[in-house]
Amino acid sequence: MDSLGFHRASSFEEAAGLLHSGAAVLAGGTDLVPLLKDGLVKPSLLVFIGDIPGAASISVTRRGGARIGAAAKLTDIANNPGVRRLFPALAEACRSVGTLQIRNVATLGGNLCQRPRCWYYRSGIACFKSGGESCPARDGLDEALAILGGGPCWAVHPSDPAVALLALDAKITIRRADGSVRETSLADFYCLPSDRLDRETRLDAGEIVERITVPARYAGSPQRYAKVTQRAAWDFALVSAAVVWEKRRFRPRIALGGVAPRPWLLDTARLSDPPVSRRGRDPTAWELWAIRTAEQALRGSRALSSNGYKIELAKNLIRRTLLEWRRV
Amino acid sequence: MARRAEPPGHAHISLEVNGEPVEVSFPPHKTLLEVLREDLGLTGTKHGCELGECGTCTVLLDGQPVLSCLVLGVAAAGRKVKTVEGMARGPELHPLQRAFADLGAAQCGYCTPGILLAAEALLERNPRPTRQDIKEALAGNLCRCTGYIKIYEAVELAAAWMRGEDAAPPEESIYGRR
Ligand SMILES: Cc1cc2nc3c(=O)[nH]c(=O)nc-3n(C[C@H](O)[C@H](O)[C@H](O)COP(=O)(O)OP(=O)(O)OC[C@H]3O[C@@H](n4cnc5c(N)ncnc54)[C@H](O)[C@@H]3O)c2cc1C
Ligand code: SF4
Ligand code: FES
Ligand code: FES
Repeated sequence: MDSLGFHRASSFEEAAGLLHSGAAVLAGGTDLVPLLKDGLVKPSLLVFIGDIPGAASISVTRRGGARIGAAAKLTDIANNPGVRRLFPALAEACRSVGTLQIRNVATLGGNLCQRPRCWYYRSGIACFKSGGESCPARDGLDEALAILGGGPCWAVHPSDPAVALLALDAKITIRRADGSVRETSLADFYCLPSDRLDRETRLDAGEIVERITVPARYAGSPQRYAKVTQRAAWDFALVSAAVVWEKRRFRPRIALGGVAPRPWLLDTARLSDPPVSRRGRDPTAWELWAIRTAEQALRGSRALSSNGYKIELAKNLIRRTLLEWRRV
Repeated sequence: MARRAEPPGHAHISLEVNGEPVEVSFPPHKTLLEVLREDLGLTGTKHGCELGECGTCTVLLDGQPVLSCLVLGVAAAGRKVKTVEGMARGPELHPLQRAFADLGAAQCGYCTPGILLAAEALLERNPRPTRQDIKEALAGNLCRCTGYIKIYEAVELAAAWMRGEDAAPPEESIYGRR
């Protein structure tokens, strides 16, 4: 660690140009610093993006949606009046992260790129994620692990904001080492351990997240982020759900957190249409539909020895959240 | 054009600590907590879990409570840091410190510096917090001794003093009598 270099980037272009192998992006540091201290990552250079002019900007309009710089702090997103009014699911998800002290430092880009919270990995026990040959959690303490999309690593993705952004169909703007820019949907930004084990995103070497854009399509539409934790004070999600309604077709986009190695978007085509007629909503039909949707959503989920509770929890959370729109 | 990275070794930064300009040089892997305690001799900020879970390392960065164990020292360049050493004015304690002492809201005292600063930031943005506001503002600070009730009462008492009210602590808080 004594040979660690540090560079304060003045633009994303410059930062991406410095991301040779062995270099790591440093934003707030709330995830990277403990990994660094525990020797779980061993970069030779830290490229600090927190002082890049405009990197923390947040601009929100009904017409244009939200444009959020990668270095925007979660506190500032959660408190931003435009985000709260037009994208309340995102504001709620940001507010639900950790504690005030963490949200005051943690950035949105860092939150989306944070590493798994699996206890085995963080304790330095050899496993697939740290370059080892097995998953000790799979046969050990598995109650926090994935019920969807797991294997060979089963650690769930810890981000709350990613779940809300996935339901909001957010786009990620990525700067490459050669200075060019590419855009991807948040859905395509994440991958599964069966695709790639060394990281959770499809960011390639020399790529850096510059901006997150939320399309105007869902600005002001009915939406909600709900999170279940083991204790009330603060915690990572056992299960979370973001529900965002499409205004025109009145169908929900539903994303789940805490259940899979990536934020998990439900395939809307597999869900039944909500029972809305010209005369309004029949609360009983709505409740039956919510129960059916929850069942459909968890189809294909699989429990390990002691994480089966997450399946019931996720179903109940989906049902409960959808019931909020039982009456108009 | 990308500038060349600074060579590995020491980072040299200027910042403001408790109202005084400070220059300090240290290896870039050091946290703000380590820089404050080891390089600047300010040991009032306590060293707990180093994982972001206990809150005892809380300091104010540009007035906002942050965990100094998770912030690298280099990230504090050009910014204002306030530690518990900066709360008293000369011999005169900050009202929060006085209320904590009067009400026994500090027992072993290990959590106290972090809680005082988190509470100071709360009262700065909300001079009349409800009990719930206080609980939320202090949710990131663990205390193994007090059971929190005396801490909440001390924050409420200090808030009243800072609003200029002539508040006295309830007898129950001091003597255990109703
Ligand atoms: C006690 C505690 C509780 C927490 N609770 C929650 C919770 O409830 N919900 C939740 O969602 N999170 C939670 N977190 C995680 C926290 O939100 C993340 O640590 C934080 O958001 C990371 O942001 P950062 O700016 O500090 O990132 P850093 O630590 O600086 O970076 C994190 C990772 O992302 C990379 N990175 C950072 N920025 C970029 C970028 N622009 N482009 C590419 N790569 C980048 C870094 O190289 C690093 O690998 C918690 C953390 C702690 C310590
Ligand atoms: S779940 Fe993933 S991170 Fe945890 S021990 Fe298994 S392989 Fe490692
Ligand atoms: S020492 Fe920083 S949160 Fe515990
Ligand atoms: S007084 Fe001992 S931990 Fe709070």
